[in-house]
Amino acid sequence: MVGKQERRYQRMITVVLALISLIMVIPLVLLVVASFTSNNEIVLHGYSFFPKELSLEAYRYIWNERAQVFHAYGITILVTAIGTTIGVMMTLLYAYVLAHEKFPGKTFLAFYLFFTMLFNGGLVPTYIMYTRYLHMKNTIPALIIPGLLMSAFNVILTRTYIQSNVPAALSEAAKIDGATEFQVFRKVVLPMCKPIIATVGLFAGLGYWNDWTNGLYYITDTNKFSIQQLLNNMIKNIEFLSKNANSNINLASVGGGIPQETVRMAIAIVGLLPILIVFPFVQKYFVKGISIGAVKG
Amino acid sequence: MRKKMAAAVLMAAMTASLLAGCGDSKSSDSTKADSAQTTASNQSEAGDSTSDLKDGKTEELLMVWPGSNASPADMQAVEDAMNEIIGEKVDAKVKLQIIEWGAYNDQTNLMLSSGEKLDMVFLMSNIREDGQRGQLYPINDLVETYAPDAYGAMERYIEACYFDGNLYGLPTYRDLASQAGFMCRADILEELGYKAEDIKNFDDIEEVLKKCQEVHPELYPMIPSDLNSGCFLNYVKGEFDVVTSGVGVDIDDDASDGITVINTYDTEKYKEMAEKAYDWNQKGYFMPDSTTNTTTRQDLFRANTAFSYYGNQHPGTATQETMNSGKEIVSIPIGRSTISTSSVNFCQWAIPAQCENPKKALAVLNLLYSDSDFQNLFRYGIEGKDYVVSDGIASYPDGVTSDSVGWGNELWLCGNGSVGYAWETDPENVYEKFTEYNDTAQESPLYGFIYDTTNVKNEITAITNVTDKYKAIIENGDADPSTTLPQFNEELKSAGIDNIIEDMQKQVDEWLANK
Repeated sequence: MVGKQERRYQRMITVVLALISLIMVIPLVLLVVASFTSNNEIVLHGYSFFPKELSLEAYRYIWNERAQVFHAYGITILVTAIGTTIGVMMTLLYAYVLAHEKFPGKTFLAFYLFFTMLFNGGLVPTYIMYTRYLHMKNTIPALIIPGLLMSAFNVILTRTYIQSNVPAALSEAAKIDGATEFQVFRKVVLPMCKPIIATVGLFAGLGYWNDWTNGLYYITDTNKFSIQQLLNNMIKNIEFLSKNANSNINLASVGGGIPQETVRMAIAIVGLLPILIVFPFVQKYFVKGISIGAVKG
Repeated sequence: MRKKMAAAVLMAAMTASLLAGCGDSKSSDSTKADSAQTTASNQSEAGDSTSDLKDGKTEELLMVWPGSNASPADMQAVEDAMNEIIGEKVDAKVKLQIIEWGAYNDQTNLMLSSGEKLDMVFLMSNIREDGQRGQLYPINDLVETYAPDAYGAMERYIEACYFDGNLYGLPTYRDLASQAGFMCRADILEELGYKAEDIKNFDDIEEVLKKCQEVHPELYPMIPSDLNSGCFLNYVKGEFDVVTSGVGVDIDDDASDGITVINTYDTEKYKEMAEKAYDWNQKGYFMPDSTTNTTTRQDLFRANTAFSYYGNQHPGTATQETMNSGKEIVSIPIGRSTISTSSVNFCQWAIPAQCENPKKALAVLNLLYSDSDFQNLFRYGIEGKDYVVSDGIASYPDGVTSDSVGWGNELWLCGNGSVGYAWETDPENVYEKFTEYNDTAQESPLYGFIYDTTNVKNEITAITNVTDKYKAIIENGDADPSTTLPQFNEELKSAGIDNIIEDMQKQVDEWLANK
């Protein structure tokens, strides 16, 4: 039997949570509606949930670029898949070693990891390293490796998870039964790490999906543009053209007729859509992994 | 023990970074020395240009400029055709690369500072900073030998591209002067019973706006020309040459008895503007909330909400605005037309320091300033496919639009566009008009002076914060200038504007003495 007080408490929680989720959902709805509003309407009357004049002009502008948009989607999916897989594997291996009590050189490895959280080479040296010595300009690895492949934070999260959720006794028992180190990792530790794999994978995946800076720095070949870079470029081009329309330069034949306000909204939606679709499938792991991994630093 | 080790590692890391710092400055020193050396050796070789350019070694030169489409359909065809023309004069081939507007400055900065392959670049940033960092190749001694036509065509304007005694860029043919004007809807002006020729000063404008307010209460009589700024942003344009942070000179300052550097916000002219802005704002001529507006003027015109704005004007503004806003716009010059260092050198072609054969690069750029076939190719693409010509005017072939065309560049990045065809939407005799506009402009007393901001970086940041706070509000008349303006100047003083004035005065005096 659920007590009366308990039921009232439940109801209150529901109301509070509903309000909070409304705060999150309403802007998203406005975004969707705005992307279907006509540009003149927004200029005249501002954003509204119930626009008088609907229009597809923003999507038409993006649709005109569809060949590039779909190609860029392909690049992003490829990069996200490869990057997330390799990234998660490396993170797990690093974290497993750090979680191991008796691993030699553990202190150094931990420090080495921690050091990268505080210091980095800065943009220009990094750029020179990747372009002139590693020759990565305009290559797919340039979208995968710089800055995204491994995050020290994820490693620490995973290490903490393994330390507190995979009992050392279990590994020992496996070893007594004759398992090698690798078998212990694969057959005993990995299956117990599913929640943290999902979490780290989601972090990494989102990182790859949303990244446009690597593209901005390292990619000039339009065939290797990722979707975020393409969309970001569209926004920046519109901004540049409207900002400089008044300067000394004569931009006679460009910039006219782009539905600026609504295109921005439509672009946000195009970038968001796949994530919206994927998220429900991984979120059950997500909550578990992050809450367990974060306890006990 | 562990602590000690950590300390040791840290020490090592810090030393390494220190060393790296040293190495860096050394290498840039040496590039400078190198380029100085090459310029010296070039001097002795100068005069024998053909043998340098036709040396039998075909070098590939990477040419980078901005555009709205990074890989237009006819890129390869244009590149091949360009190489054919180049091949006759220079043993070199160009590789073309367009970077989209939005990413342009970031990517060219990285390319310049990393020293990767780059031979000709269209710069839209300040040549002073790039030149200072040793990223550009000084072309003083090469330009007259290897790019004589470019030098000849731009001679009056090339002065603005010198820094520290070195020439770093070739300005392009465009509206090199600048002037403010009154732009308004042609249909409504006519309806109100005025002619464009009748409007000559701000009293005339006020009369028109007043009438507009009565007849068309649904329109904002005046909107700001730029985002997040006041309607009178350009009111004092042409009265001062503002070098940085509001510090500059009066355009009428006579250089013969020395030049006085002033705070342009603390002048009678600025005050007059502030008072007029306040007055007009009170009368309701301005669009409300101009200073927080994020909708471009073109969109405001298109949505049928605006009558006029006061902004930059040059030959062709009317056609350009008409095209971009979908309403017929007439442009009426009001302010003085002036030419200053910054109006010329904010975009130009330059040779990066890493260029391996600056002579050939210059010779290729020279074609852009002299060869009409090369010019047309670079600006419009392949004749018959990307454009057609009738009576010396180029236009799109049937069925081709600005969206579907396979190639196209703007006049202002094409070197000397006047050697090529005019475009159909350009005003009649566009090149004569541009040349006249440029040649008749009044030169700023500081024309050719480039300010070295090294000593006052902090002050500039502090002043930017103050101007962000006050400038738009004052220029839109949102607050009574009798209190706001003194307050503004007070804060500018405490942000260190006097240091900038003093520092700039020193540099100006030196510059004048050496002139």
